[in-house]
Amino acid sequence: MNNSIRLIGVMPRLLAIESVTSMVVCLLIAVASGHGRIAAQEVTSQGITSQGITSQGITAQIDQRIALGYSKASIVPAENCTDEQFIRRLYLDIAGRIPTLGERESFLLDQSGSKRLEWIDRLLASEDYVENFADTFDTLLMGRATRGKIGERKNHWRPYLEEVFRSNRPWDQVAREILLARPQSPEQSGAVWFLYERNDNAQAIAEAVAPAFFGIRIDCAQCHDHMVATEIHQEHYWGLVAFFNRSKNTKTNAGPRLSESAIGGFSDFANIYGSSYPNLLTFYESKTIDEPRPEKDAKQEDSQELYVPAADPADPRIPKFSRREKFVEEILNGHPRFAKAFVNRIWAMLMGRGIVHPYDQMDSVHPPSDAELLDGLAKEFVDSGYNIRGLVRGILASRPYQLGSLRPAGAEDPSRFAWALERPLTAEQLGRSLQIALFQKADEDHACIGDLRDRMPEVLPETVVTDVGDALFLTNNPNVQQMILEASKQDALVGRLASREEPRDAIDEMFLAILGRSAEESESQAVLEFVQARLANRPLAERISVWQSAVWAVLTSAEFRFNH
Amino acid sequence: MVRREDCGSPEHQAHRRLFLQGSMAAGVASVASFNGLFSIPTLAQETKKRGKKCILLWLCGAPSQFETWDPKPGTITGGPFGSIATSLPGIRISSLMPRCATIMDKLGVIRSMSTEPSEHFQGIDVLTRGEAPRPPFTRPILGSVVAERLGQLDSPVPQFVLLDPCPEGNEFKSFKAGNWAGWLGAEYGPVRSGGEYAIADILRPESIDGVDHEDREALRSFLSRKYQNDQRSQAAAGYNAAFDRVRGLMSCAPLFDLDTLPVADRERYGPGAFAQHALQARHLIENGSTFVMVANGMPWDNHVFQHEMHQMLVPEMDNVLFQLVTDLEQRGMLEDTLVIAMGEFGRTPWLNEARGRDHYSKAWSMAMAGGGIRGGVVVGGTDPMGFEVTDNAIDNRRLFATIFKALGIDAKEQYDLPDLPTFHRVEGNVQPIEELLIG
Amino acid sequence: MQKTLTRIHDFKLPTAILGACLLGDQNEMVAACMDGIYRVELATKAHRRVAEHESYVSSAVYLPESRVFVTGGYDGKLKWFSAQDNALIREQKVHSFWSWDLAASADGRWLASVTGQYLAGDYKYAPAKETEPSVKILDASDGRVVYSLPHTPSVQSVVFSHDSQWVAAGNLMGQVRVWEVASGVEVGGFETKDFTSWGIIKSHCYLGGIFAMEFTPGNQELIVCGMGDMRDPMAGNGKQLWQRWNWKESKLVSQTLDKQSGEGLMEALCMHPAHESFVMGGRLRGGDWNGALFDLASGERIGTIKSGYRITEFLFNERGELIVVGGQGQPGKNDQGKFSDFGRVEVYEIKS
Repeated sequence: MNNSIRLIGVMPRLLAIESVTSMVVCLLIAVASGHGRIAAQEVTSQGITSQGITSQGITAQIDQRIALGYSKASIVPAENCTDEQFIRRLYLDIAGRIPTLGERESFLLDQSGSKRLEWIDRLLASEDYVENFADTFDTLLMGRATRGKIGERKNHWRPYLEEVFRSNRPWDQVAREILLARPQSPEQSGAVWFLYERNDNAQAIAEAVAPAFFGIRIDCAQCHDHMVATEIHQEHYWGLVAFFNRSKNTKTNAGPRLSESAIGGFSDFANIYGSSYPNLLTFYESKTIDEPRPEKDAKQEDSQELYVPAADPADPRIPKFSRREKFVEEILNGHPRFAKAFVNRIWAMLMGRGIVHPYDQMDSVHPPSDAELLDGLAKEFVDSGYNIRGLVRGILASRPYQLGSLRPAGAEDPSRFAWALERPLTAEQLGRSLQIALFQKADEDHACIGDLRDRMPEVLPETVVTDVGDALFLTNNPNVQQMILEASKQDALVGRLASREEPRDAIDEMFLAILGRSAEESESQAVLEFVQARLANRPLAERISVWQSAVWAVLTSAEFRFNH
Repeated sequence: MVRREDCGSPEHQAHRRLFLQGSMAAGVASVASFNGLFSIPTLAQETKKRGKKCILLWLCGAPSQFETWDPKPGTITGGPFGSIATSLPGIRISSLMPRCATIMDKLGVIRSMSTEPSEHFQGIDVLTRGEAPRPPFTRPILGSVVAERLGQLDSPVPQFVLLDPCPEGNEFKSFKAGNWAGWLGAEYGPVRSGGEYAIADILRPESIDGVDHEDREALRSFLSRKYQNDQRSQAAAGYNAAFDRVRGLMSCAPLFDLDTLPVADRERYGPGAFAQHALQARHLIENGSTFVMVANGMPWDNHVFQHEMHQMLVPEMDNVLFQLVTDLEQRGMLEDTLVIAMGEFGRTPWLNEARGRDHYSKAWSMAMAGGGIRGGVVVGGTDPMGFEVTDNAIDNRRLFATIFKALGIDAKEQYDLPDLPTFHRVEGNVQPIEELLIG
Repeated sequence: MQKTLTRIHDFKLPTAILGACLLGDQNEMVAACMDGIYRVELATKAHRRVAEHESYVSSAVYLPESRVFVTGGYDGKLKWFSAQDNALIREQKVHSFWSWDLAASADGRWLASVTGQYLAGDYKYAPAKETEPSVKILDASDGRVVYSLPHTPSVQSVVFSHDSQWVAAGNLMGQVRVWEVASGVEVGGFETKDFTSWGIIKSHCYLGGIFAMEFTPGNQELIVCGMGDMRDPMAGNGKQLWQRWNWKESKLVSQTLDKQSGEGLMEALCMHPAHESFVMGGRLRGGDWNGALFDLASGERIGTIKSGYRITEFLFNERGELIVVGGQGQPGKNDQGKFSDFGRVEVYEIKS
C-alpha cells in the first residue's frame, strides 16, 4: 500500500436518524405542497404571470421527490435561507447580478406573505432576466465568442436569443427555428446563426447540436463507438453530421441563410478497426430516415425539379427532400432526450449541478440522481408547452432552491440537493455585480466584462476550481485596480465611504453594498482595525486609498465570488 | 479522437474528494483572532532542499537520430552532415553537435529507442507519460509525477514549470491542469510561461504601494477564510488556496523574467527562445523548482526542409545541452539534476519529396545526463542504415523505469486510487536500464 | 499559346539529382546527386558515377570553351573535371558550410558559389549574421576567389545575368542582392517576404526562401521561385510561386497568375533559349502539376508537367525543343533493407 499518494477516499458520514426520517419527510411534504398552493393562488389573483404559467406542478414535484431523497439517504436538509440570502441568490440567478442597495432594501421591507414568489415573477418579467439568460445560453449553445466574433453575434444571434427569453418562446419552437434555420419572420432571422457561425463545418454542428438539444456529448464517437458510454455509437455521430452536411452558408439580401442541396452528402465512415459503414440518416435513441442512396461512384444530377422555391424569393430554394427538415420533424420532434436535456440544464443553472451531472453528458455513465424527478419535470415541461419561464419559476419556488447554503452535518452528497450548492458567478454576473457594488449600476459594455470573459470563460463548470491565474487577475490586473480607483468618485462606493465621519457606518455600508448583509462583529472589528491604523491624521486622498484597499478585500473575498 | 478532459474521467471526482478532505481539515482550525495578520514577514529564504530535480528538454515534433546521436555517414540514409569523434573513444555523433562531442563522457545516450506510436499526439502521450492512454483515465505527465513525489508543495516557487512560447499545435495550448496532472489532481499541473504566454498579472499594479498591497490581501484573506470556515465551503477553500499562492508567485516574478539573467549567460546559451528558456530552466531549478519542461512548439517535425531546419535546430540543442550540463556540474548540481533531451520518436531513414524526413518510431535516439545517470554510456545500436534496432531495444516503459530510478522514485509502485483500476507508476514490471544508472 | 509537353525518355539514377548541366553535345548530362557525380547519356539512359564529394553534390555547371565541368557540394568544395575523361583538374574548399548553389557566367569566365548555415539569431529565430562570406566569385579558369561578398545566411540560390555583367544571390529570408561581377560592387536587389514562412503554429522559426533565379533576357529583371507562405510550415502547402522583380528599383513586376498555381515548393527555374518562356518546377503538394512552362511576356501558364516526383532541375537543349528534368522519387525500403533507385531523369519534347 502506498500511503504517499495524496488521494484518499472520504467515507461518507451517515447520520443514524432512520427513525426520525419518515416524520421529517411528512413535514417537508406538507410544507412544500402548501407553499406551492399559496403561491399559485397569489400569483393568478395578482395577474403577474401573463403567460398562464403553471409552475406549481413543477414545484410540487420537486419538493416531493427531493424530500423523499432526503429520507432515503437519511439526511436532514439545511434550514431555509434568509430573505437576505434569498434576494442575492435570486438576483444573481435571474437578473445576472447582485441587487442594488435600493432593490435589496425594498425586498426586505416588503411585507407580503408571498413576497418571494412575487419577486421571482417580477424579476422573470425584467430585461435583466432577458440579458442574463441570453448571456448564459449564448455561451452554452455557441461557446465563448472570440473578441472578433462578439460583434457578429450581436448583430445576428443575440437579438434573437433575447427575444426568445423576452417573449418566452416555447423551447421546442426555438429548437425548430434554430435547426431548421428557415426564418419565417425578421424576428426569427438570427436563429440561423447557430448553424451559420459553424461555417459549413457539419461535424462542428453535430458536436454542438448533441449537447445543446439532447444533453449528450458525442465527440468521442467520431472514430469509434463511445468507449465508456457504449450506447453512443459511431453511426449516431456520422448520422447527425449527415443531417447537416448538405447545408451551406449563403448570404442573401435578408441576411445570412443556410441553403441546402438536394443531393450529395453520402459517404462511408470507417472505424478504427478498419470496417466502414454508410452514413445513414440516424441518431441516438431515434430512428433511421429512409433516403434513396445512389450506387457507389454513381453521379447524382442536381436539377431544379428537386427543389421548391422559398416563400420569400430572397431566401434559398428548399430541397423537396430536406435533411434538416427531416431532422427537425422526425428526430428532434418528440425525442425522448429533448425535454429532459433542457430541464436538466435549467436545473443545473439554478441548483449548481444537474440531476444528471455533468449536465451535458446524460449518458449511461452518468445516471440521474433521481430519474423519476427528471422524468416528472420533463413531462411537466412538455405539458406546459415547453414553457421556459414556467420551468424556471417552478424551480425557484421550490424548497430546495430556497435552502441555506451551509452544508448540514451528515450531508455529503451534493446530488441530494440538501443545501444550496455554491456556484461561481459567470464572467458576466461577476462583471455586473462588481459594477453594482461599486456604482449601483451596471454597464453591459464595461471593459471588465470582456476581461472576465477572457479570464474566466467557464459557465456551469463540472467542478469548481480556482486557477491561481484568477487570483493573480483579481489581485494585480490593472483594469480591476482601475475600477476601484473609479469608484473613488463622490457618488461611488469608495467615495461615499471615505466621506463618512464614522468608520463603523462606512463599514456597514460597505458590507451591505458588496455582500448584501451587515458585517458581523468580528468582521467589523477587523476592518475597523485595518482602517483606523491607516486613517489617523491622513489627508483625504490617502483616506480614499485606505477605503480602496478595504473595498478590494471584500470584493475579492470568496463570499462575493460565489452564489450561495 | 478529440481530447476532452471531461471524457467521463473520474479524476474530477477524485479531485473533489481531495477538496472535501482539505476543507474538513481547514474546518477544524478557526480564525480566532485577526490581530497580527498584517505584518506578513518577507518570505523566508527558500530553503534549497537537497533533492533530485529534473529538466526535460522536450524536443517536440521529433528530431532525427541521424542528425544527432546516431549518424550514418557515407550511407544513403545518413543525410548530408558528417560525423565527428567525441570524448568517448570509438563513439561518433553528428557533426552538428561539436559541443556535446566534448562531454560525451557525461552523457548517457540511448540509440535503440523503439516505441509504438508514430503519430504526434499518441507519441507525446507515450513519451511524456510513459504509457499509452487508457481512456477515460488520464495518466499524469512526467513533470506532475516528479512534482508530486519530489516537490515541495508549500514552496512559493512553482514545482512544475512549462516554458513553451509556442504551445499552439503541440496540443499543450488547450491543456488544462487535469490534462497534465491526470489522476494526481490539478495542483500538480504546471505553471506555464514563455514568450507571449508569460504569467499574466504577476506584477503589482503601479497605483498601489507594496505595503497596502500586502495588507489588503491580509484583510481579504481574513474575511474570505471566515466565510470558508463558517460555510464549510469547498469552493472557497480552493479559492483561498489560489490566493495563497499569489504572493509566492509574485515573489518569483523575477525568476520568470529573462531580462534578470546575466547577459553573459544569455549569450552563452544562445539567442533563440528554446535556448533562453533552457537557461531560465536552470535558474528555476537553482531557485527551488523541481521539474522544468522546456519546449518550443514542435519545430522538429521536419516533413519539409529536414536538413534546412536541422542545421539550425541541432546546433542550438547541442549548445543548450552542453551549457546546461556544464553549468550544473560547475554548481555542484549535476549529481542531483537529471537532464533529459528527447522527442516523441525519431525520423525516417529516407528523405521524402519535400526534402523532409517523416515520423519513425522503430529506431531512434535520446540522451540524458546527471541526476543518477551514468555518463559515457551509449546504450544499444541500430543497423548500418538505421532501419532497425540491432541491440537492446528500449521502449517507453524501460525508459521511464530508468528515469524514475535515477530520480529515486519507485517505478513499480501502485497508485492508490479509489474506484479506479490498478495503475502502476510504470506498467509491465519492466527493468530499468542498469548500465545507465549510477550505483 | 499552349504547348504540349510530351515525355520521350524516363529512367532512374540510384539517388536523387540535386543539380545538373548538359555537356556540349547536348546529349550528355552531368548530374549532381546525393551520392556523387554521374555522367548520363540521355538517349541510351547509360549512366555511371564518375566522382564524388564528401557529402551531397548540389550543383554542376559546364564551361564549354575549356570543356570543363565544375561541381559544388555540401562539403563546401568546388571540383573541376575534364569533360573529356572526367579527370579531376582542381579541388578547392570554398566554404566551411555547404555550397548551396553554383553558377557559371555565360561567357565562361566566372563561377559563383553561395553558402550559409541558418543559425538562430534572435529570440524569434531570425537568421544569425554570416560567419563566413556567403557569396564567392571565382575565376573559372584557375579557381582564384575574386570577390568574397556578404549576405545573410542561408544563401540558397545564385545566378549570372545573360551578359555576364551581374551576379545575383537570394536567401532564406527572400533577400536578393545583385553585384557587378567586374567590380564586386553591390548594385541593387530587393526583398520579398512571400517565400518565407514563420510558423505561427508549431514552429517559431523561418523556412523557405528563394530556391532558384533567372535573369530576364534584358537582364533588367529577375525571376525568382520558391514556395508561398504557410501557416503551418510542416504542411509544405504554400503556393507554387514565382515572382518577377525589377532588381534595380526593388519593384515587383508580376507573379504567378491567379488560379494558375497549386501547392508545393518550387526549386527549379530555367529560361528558354528563345527567351520567350521559362519553366518552373518542384513538388506537387496540391493541384495538378509540378512543372510548368510560362509565357515570359504575359506570365500565362502555357504547358504543364505532372511528373509524380520532386523536380529539382530543368535544362533546355540549345535549340529549345527539349526539356531535361532531374529529380527525386520517393525513396523507400525494399525487402533487403536497401533503397530502390530514387533519382529521376526525364526528357520532354515541347510541341505547339
